[in-house]
Amino acid sequence: MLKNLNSKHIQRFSYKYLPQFPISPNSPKLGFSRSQIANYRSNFPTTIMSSSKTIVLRSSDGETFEVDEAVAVESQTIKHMIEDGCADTSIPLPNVTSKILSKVIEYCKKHVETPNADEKVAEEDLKSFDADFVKVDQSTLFDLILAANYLNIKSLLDLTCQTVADMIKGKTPEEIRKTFNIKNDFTPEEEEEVRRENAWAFE
Amino acid sequence: MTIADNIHDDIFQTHILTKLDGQTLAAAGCTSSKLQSLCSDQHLWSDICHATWPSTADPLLTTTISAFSSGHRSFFSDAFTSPTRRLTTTTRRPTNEIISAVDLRYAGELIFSKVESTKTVPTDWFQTSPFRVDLLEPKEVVLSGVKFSGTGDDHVMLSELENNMILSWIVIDPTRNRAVNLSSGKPVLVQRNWLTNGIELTFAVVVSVKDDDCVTCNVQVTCGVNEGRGELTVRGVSLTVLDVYGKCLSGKNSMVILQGIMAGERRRRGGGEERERYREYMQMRRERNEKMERRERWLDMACVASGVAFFMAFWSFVMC
Repeated sequence: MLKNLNSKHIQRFSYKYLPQFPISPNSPKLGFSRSQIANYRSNFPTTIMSSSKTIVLRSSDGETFEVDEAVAVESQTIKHMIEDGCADTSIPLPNVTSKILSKVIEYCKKHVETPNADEKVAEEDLKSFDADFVKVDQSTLFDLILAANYLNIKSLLDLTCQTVADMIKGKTPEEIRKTFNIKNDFTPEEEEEVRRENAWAFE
Repeated sequence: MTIADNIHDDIFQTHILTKLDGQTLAAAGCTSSKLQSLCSDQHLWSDICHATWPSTADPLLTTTISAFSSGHRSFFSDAFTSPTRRLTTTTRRPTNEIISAVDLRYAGELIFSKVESTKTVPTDWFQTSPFRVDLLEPKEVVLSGVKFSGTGDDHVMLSELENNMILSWIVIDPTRNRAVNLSSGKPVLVQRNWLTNGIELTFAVVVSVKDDDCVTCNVQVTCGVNEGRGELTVRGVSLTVLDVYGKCLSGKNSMVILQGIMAGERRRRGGGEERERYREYMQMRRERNEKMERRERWLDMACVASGVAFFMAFWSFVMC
């Protein structure tokens, strides 16, 4: 039966199962040796329909989340844990609740799925996702900041901190106190002096 | 739960406060004592100063500014605001040196930045000669990297310069640790000087002294356009203090004015008023000069008439 296979069949066979291999008219007409194919496969383990590794994350209240490794390594903390070999069973995250962890995973998933700002449409889509993502109440926002800092996810930390900065911008001290529920602990004399020094900023 | 309790101090300082501008940072520092200590960090304010006025990153200035009462924070509040409109001159001991930090931007891009130290020791020569600070040598030319398409419409180019040029001229007194921004931000006047074929931009603040007298701190920037490439060049940047007749004040009087402005109150930097005030000042200048001319003409005619009368009297005396 092998004798009936001509070079054309072999070329088509190799093209179907090794998609990255360039087929040119000058490539060898006969197939590839087993050692060649094995060597090739070991260099590109994930291209051939391989299942990517999943990581299990455990929140502070005991809930577990299974995520792709590519999504989990958005967090530098988790990435270092995996590299150090601590990620055999599951990774415990005692500082992050399940509610916040699910939101963080949602963010990381979206950012891994979207290609890196190649097309304008993808970039716009990501921007509107980010804008909607931070439309949460203050305590969730602060918890997200703490989680992003603990998990060391730079883009999430920048996004959440920029949101808080935008909430402070352009407001007078009274308005800032009201927005963030800050207690005014100045004595009247101190308050007077501080206002006098900084009146140029808001009056 | 408040923001200050929830988020750790270092996250708050390194990630949130660094994203605020000067005004917001000052307002946030007024809310509570904890935020006040967080917002007083010198690195935050020095970063804001360097971003707003790149010339302040000069090593000569960083040590001078650090000596201010609250370091970069008080420097920012001095330089960000406008000088007072009404000056109350009181006698002050003259200072020996002033430092000028100048930044010129076109459409947000920095095209010229310089720090210059001027000795103002009250010698006889300094006190009587006209006061002037020049940042460029007579033949020195600075390329700006801003291109103008062709020399077609002069009017269009002048209006573009008027809308896009922003200058800040900060005068710093290192002995008294005060500073003031003497520029009007955007130019109050842009005109072409047909003699030198240059474009003159005036950035001036007008200050009233006493009842109806006023002076102006006049910053003049002279630009030209390179014939070949159509590139804007800066040929001269200077500061003078002019009185109501348009004459340069002497060193002694200029320093009195400058020191008075530095010690005076500050106003919030508003938009567009400087141009109005400058127009009123030019109007006042024109009227005063006309009045003076008229007076001199009358004086001339009176002298001629008395001379003729004397001559006639003498002649008639001789004839008779």
